[in-house]
Amino acid sequence: MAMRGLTMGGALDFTPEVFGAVLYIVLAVAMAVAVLGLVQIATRCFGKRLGIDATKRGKYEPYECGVPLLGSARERYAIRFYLVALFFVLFDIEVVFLLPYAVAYKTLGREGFFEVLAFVAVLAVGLLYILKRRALEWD
Amino acid sequence: MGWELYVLKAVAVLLIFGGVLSVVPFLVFFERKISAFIQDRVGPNRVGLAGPDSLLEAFGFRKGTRRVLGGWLQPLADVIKLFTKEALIPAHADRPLYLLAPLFAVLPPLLAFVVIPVGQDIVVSSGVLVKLQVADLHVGILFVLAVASLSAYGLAFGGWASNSKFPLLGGVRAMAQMVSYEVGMVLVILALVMSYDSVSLRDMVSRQAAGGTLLGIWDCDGDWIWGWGLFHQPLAFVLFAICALAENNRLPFDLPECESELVGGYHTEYSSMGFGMFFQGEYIAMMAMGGLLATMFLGGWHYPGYAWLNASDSLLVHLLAALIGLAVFGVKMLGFVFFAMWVRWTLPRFRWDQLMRVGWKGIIPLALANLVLTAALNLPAPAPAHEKPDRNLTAVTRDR
Amino acid sequence: MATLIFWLVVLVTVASAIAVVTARNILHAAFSLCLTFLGVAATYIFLHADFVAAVQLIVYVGGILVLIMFAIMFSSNVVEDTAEGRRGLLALGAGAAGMAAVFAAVLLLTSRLAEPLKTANPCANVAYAATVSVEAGQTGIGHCLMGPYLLPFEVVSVLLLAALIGAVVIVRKEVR
Repeated sequence: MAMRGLTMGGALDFTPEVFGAVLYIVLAVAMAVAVLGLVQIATRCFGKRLGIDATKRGKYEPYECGVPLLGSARERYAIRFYLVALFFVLFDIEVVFLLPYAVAYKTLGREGFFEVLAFVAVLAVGLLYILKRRALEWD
Repeated sequence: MGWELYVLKAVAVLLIFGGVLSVVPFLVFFERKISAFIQDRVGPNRVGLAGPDSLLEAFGFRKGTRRVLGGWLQPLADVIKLFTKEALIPAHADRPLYLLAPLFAVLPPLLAFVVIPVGQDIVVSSGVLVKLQVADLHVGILFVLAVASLSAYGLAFGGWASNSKFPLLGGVRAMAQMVSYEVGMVLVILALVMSYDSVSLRDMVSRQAAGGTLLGIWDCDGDWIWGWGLFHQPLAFVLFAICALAENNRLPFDLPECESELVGGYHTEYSSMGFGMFFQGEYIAMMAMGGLLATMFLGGWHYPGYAWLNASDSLLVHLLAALIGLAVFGVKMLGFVFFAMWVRWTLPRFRWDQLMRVGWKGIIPLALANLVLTAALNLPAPAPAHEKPDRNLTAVTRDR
Repeated sequence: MATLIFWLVVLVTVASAIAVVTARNILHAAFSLCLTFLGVAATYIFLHADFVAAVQLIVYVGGILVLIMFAIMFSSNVVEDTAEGRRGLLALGAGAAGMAAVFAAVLLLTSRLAEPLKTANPCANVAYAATVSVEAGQTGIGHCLMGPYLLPFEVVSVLLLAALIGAVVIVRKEVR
């Protein structure tokens, strides 16, 4: 009915394969949620009776090797971590562009190979530049 | 007609799911035993064969048995212990994220098993075929990559939500490290996609079972192990194994949780099964990486002589062949897990700058070179390119 | 069954997208964004665009979100949101979203995407090629990139290089 318009290419075929994947994912999520929920609920329900003392000082404090807390944990970090993430995104996009080539390269032949070589070469220059500028050195 | 396929699939799914989860506690036990062996200790030896030596001897156990077998029930004890611990939430933690983060630690590696084929297809009767695989998705290996990209978040959110310094440092490190090695891993996998000419892990195993052109130069057949990816992509094999260790945060790449500087790293503030999930996630991830390694480089469920066994018409022999294949896959997968443990108790840890250098100066350039080399070597001759795939196609149909 | 899952996915996607905008804590917003990306990827699967779904996860969840997380962690005092200026921003956001929705609707109604494959050139729309069939989609994208879209493909590499150099130059003070 109305859904047909929304799903466009027609609904997903519910083959045994898709069924298997969905079943597995549902099982995995259910298992993880159940286990985590169980221990939390059990702690809430039976904790008091089993001798958990929520008033104990320090028990719920963040761990700092037994020393009183010093400052906040929400500290700022070296900009290099951000650079790493940025480079990753750029190279990830490169990889994503290479993927369709990798799948189809047998039929793309020599031309395709040299076209991709040009693409990779430009990014290899980029990698060389990062390494030359020592942008990823932690000294 | 249709419904029994779904039932068979459900059985396969349950077996794989249950199998993966039930092996984990034993892996923890093995890790402790192996570390004990490497460090010349005894390791866990109490839970299992209990009682005084004289009593054990009365039951026919020799004195040395306890050293080897003692403690075989330790995994069960560990599980019970984790389940009965107090699941505390630190006072300053960010509750929703703190509770959700362990989910993200355990689900990605668990989901990787969706596309890993654990055994050959079983032909129950003509037309009814059970794939020993959760789902043979079209995207194949891409599914693993997509799921793997999620795996850093369990550690990152967990570290941040704990609102403590050590976990936060661990989380930040985990993100930067996993991201750095993911590029290399994807590039390695791209080279494999090229050399197998498929993204489906199932096809990859079939190609290896069928043999092919070694290094793009000389031909080999699939009866012996020369069809395995290891011999076609030796550099990729080494790079992938290194990336696998780094993605799993295993030594020598375990900076996100290194005990000597970050206490417990990202899971410092976790207790009970919250910690258990992180722990489980690590071991499942090792198995998943081992499974991928086995599938892409070690022929998956393929073993020498499988073609000969499958030539028989008897269903029983066919099932036996499939069972052997399943066992062979398990051995290959756990072989990598053993390797990871061995490495862990042998090598020291990298420094952070060394880790970054290995990733960006070592793995990524080498993986890029490997990719270009693969493309160049496997390039079809200028003549029509329809010769090669045929060979593989016949092989694929033969093994059905 | 498939329709049920579809609506479940839609529900999760929209709910988490709303959570992204309304969350007080910026890291909660990031987490919800993660769910939104997952939902969008699932929607692509329903469109038979498995490849695009995988790319969505690899790039957005694997890359962009890490970037966002780092960006949040680098700046102090942005985690908890203060109430002032919220309403104005909300109105602005709602306006932008409305505009985008109208734009998307117009595009959908007028573009080739809405029609079945009529054009002679199968590369007319790469996204469409991906939705036709998965295998054809994957190899099809490759052929499109190496064929009619070769120039944009190569330009992308230059663009990525520029971004790379730009990033290094901007943090140069720290690096050198």
